[in-house]
Amino acid sequence: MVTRAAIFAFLFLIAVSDATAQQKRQVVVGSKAFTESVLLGEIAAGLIRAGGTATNHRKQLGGTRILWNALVRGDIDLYPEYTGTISRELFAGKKFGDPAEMKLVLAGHGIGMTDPIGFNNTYAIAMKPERAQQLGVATISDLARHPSLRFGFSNEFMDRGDGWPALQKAYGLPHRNVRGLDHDLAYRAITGGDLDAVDAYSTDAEIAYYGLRLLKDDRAYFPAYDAVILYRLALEKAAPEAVRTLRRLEGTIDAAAMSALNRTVKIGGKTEASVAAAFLEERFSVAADSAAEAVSSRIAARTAEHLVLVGISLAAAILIALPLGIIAARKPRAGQLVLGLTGIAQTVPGLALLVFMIPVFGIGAKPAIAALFVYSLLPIVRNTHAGVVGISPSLAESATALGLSPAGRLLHIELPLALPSILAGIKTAAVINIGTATLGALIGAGGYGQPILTGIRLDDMALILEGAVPAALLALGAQAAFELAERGLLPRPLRSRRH
Amino acid sequence: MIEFQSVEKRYGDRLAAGPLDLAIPDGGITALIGPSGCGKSTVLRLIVGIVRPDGGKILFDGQPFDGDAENADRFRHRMGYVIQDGGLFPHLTARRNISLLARHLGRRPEDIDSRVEALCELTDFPRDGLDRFPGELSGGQRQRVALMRALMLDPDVLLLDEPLGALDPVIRYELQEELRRIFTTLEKTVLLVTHDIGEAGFFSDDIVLMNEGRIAQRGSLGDLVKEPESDFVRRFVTATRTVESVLGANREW
Repeated sequence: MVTRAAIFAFLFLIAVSDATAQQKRQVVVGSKAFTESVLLGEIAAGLIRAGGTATNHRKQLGGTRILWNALVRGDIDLYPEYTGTISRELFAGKKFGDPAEMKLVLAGHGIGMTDPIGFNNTYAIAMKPERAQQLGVATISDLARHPSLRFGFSNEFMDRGDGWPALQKAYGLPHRNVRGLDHDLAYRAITGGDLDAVDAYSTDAEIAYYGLRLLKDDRAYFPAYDAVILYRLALEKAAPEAVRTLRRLEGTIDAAAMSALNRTVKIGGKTEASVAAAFLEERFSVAADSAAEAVSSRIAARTAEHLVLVGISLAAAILIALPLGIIAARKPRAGQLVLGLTGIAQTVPGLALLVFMIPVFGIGAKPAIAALFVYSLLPIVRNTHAGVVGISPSLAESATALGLSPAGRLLHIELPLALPSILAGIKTAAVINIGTATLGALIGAGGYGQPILTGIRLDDMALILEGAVPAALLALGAQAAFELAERGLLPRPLRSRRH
Repeated sequence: MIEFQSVEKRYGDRLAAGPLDLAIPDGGITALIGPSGCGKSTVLRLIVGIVRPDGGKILFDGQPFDGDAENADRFRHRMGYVIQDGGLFPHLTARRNISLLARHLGRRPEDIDSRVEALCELTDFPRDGLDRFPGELSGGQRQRVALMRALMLDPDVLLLDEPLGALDPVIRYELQEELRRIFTTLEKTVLLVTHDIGEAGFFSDDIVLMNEGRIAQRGSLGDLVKEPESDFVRRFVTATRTVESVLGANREW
């Protein structure tokens, strides 16, 4: 009965997630997980919507690789990108003579590129002016004379082809005290004096706000990062109106204007949607709707998304891990393999596992569910195995000598005796799952990670708590629910003695 | 009839039992006895098919029986097996322990209930104990439940491995009386393993004394005492310190 109910619940959840995937006959806009990208995404989406095409904006989807792969796969139709990122990161090692050449290479991947939107948001190295003054640092070359300086770079900059490793080589920088951290946190760290230099985007609102000095790129290492929109060429056929509308953005925002827009959001505390709407109205006389969601309905929506992520992945993990654990207990050789493999899967960092799933499942809830499923396997497999193996030999012999069939032994003896351990494993998996699911927001899966991610980006503690508190409550609730289930499912002698 | 033909059982390099030739006659009570590690429990485990012979054949009513065989469980349903600590399933009540196999085989609930009732009568087990878990019963009651479980399907053969070994002396004494009464009532083939020569003689005239995996001598208690076939048999039958022997020895002081 219980298993049948679980299977129905599982199928229902799959049907629900499929249904949400079905209703995408619209232009899907993507954006990276920083304010300028989200703003450009909002502006592009608003403009296309005003042109009469339905749009859906999947905000703050992690970094360049995630967006590019999603675009090539067709999970999104367009997203804002920078020419320097295309030449140095996406096609590292390729020399592009002019934009026409870049367009040609992109077309080879089925991707089109608009002309520049009008501003160059290049990478820069920023320091506090007092500190730069004191050390006599005005250019990036000058940094080489101070090898003990503490650098903090955004995680993407740490790894990118055009990021720190190449910059270090180009300037011969000897620094060892370099750490990767969230871009928005880096600004707080440098003003707090914990870091000496950080990477910055030249249109970042914080540069002016905190009065930071950008060091001169005296060897012209950083290329131009002209903002453009990348879109799927297929869109020209499917929604020609949308592409035409998109092109109206070309040359409309200069560096000062972009910096001002960024500032209105990051320092002015306005939402991207309202800032984008105001911009569209002023520049294009477009009346855009920016109805803000009420907090309660927002939390309800995030809760629903989070429950779908956790529910499906956990149910699938139980269905697979339980038999795996039993097999592992029955066949020691296979058991070593099963426990080893699930153990290895557990050591893959959460974010990496999410990114691994993208080539197979695209972006959104599916890859997140797949990753959470993998994460939930180990605790259940291990506890099922331990529970079955831990049954005393005399009980196992009694069951055999009684003449119970193998299925009967499993059903009446082994599973009931292992049930306390199995339930504990599922409980652990559920709690880990609920916490890890917050990372899903980075690949567009929604859930409680969404407000946390936005809150970190905008330095908005209330928004962070809007995700963190329900996530913690859900974990506690799951814990309590499993303890109740233990009381209901376990016969008196197998219950733990705690009260 | 259960018959061993040159049966051998090894654990690694060690020969645990064999080669053994042994016939257990129908309807009688046979006691298997010997020092620890002599292979007496192994004989029982070979019969139920929990362990498999490394050589020779075991016949059950003339048919070869092997724990691996597809029909192994059909043979097992004709045997009832009771081990020292009862081997009761801690998560099932006494009633569920007793009726587990019958329910699993799809027997009718009314038949199961009346059978449990009859077994309670036979073993003098209190009805209100049926809904307790094994952990909530006394040692003697647990053994009664284990015996009822073994008898549930009315098997032809009853195998008992040190059924009273874990009980304190007074309860053990009472249960010995009761068990003998039950055996007489049942008229089944009974094979009982014990390490206590007195207990063996109390239950049976057919005692199989084992040593180092082989049969040292078979006969009644009188045969073993009066005509021991080896030094080992002589030492084994006289190695028990009874109250009388202790008192007698003290008087000579």
